[in-house]
Amino acid sequence: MAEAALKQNATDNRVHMVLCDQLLLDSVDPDTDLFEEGLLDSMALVNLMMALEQEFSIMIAPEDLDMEDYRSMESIVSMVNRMQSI
Amino acid sequence: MNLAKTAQPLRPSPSSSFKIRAFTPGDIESVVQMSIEHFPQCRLVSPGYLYETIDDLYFKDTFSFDGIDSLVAVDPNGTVSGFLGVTPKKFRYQGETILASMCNHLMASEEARSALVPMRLLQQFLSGPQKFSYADGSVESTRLLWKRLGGEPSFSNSVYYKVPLRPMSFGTRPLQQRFPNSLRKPIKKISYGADYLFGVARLPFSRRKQPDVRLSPIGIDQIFEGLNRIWRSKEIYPETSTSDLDKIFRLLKNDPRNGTLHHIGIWNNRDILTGWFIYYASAGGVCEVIQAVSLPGKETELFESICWHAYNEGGTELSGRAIPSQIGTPFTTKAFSMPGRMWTLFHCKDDGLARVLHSDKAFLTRMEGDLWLI
Repeated sequence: MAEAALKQNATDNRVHMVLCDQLLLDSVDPDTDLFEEGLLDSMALVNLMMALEQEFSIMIAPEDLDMEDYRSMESIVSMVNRMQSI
Repeated sequence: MNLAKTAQPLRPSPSSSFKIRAFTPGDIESVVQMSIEHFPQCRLVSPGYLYETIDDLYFKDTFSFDGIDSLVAVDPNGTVSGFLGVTPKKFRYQGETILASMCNHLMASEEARSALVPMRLLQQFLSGPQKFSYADGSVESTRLLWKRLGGEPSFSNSVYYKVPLRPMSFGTRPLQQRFPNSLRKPIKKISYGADYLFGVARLPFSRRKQPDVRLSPIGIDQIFEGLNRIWRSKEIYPETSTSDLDKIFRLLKNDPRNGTLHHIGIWNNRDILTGWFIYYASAGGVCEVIQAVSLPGKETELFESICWHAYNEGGTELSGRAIPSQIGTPFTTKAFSMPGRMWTLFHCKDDGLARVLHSDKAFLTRMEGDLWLI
């Protein structure tokens, strides 16, 4: 249980790191709406997806692309967890 | 989770979500305004001209198909903030007619970009009923979006070439663009004069060899006949009629931006049509090639013919996109070749068809992409 929580925390931190790196932010709240805040445009999304693929060794196929997955850090973490479990 | 406070957003927040719907005639005016803002070439013509061309391209006399529409993104106030021009096209593939769809002029306002409108427009377009989708003359950012959505750039259809016809004018062109108008004209005249003197002095780099063929204007019927001959060796080609060609020629001729449209046939000494080229001649400027096609093995003749013609029309530079069969011929070996300056993009779920599209078995010239029409 503790191990799972630790692992989850590590994923959160890595997603946070990738997000900050890609969006040139110092920090981002897990529930910040990245679309509403105007933080993520189409090109930034493409770059973010590439960075996530590299960081987590996952492959985001075109048919798996649901933009809602990128609305917040929380939803990105869920998407990464889902991809990693495939 | 132990995260620090959120940093300030880098861009203004979009007020709310954007809706994507089919482009209607009522949207033309907004699209004209957006085109003027986004594309420098649209500032060279009047808004009235743009209005008519867009109306003509997307709403008049075009082949239409339910479910394939140009798309607009509108904000909650109903303001058009994004556009993707879409043209359905018919192609012949393995003896059957298949439906393709070409997209161009992807644009979005700053706010719409923050709401992922370009990505959503492309995603909706690519999920249409067409067998394959393509885009011509796309910029790098569109290539990245397109690839992310499952499409591929066609490397063999993305090789652009530039041929200096008048070396001095060609060489000073980048300089001319940096100088104000008052200096630009004298530099242009001096360069052109120097090129003339080089020509008189018969310096080898300053003259074009006259090809051993007959060049004369070619009509639509003859082009159509020639296309039918070329298409025999292709597995996929556009299903075009003479009236389609007539329409595209009319649009090309009306465009005041690029110079004088020429369509020239090449006949060998046995009076057989071996190729033709359609291009804009611009005295003292860049001559843009729209379509240059020849029978297999006649590419050198074709290349020399275009250069000769454009040189005699006063052009300083020839520019175009090579088709796959012209790669490795003078179009790329005797020209400045620029792979990936812009991109031809394909999106196709059928692997067999995709392979054909990326090969020289597909016939797809700049004439099949309407990008430069707006």
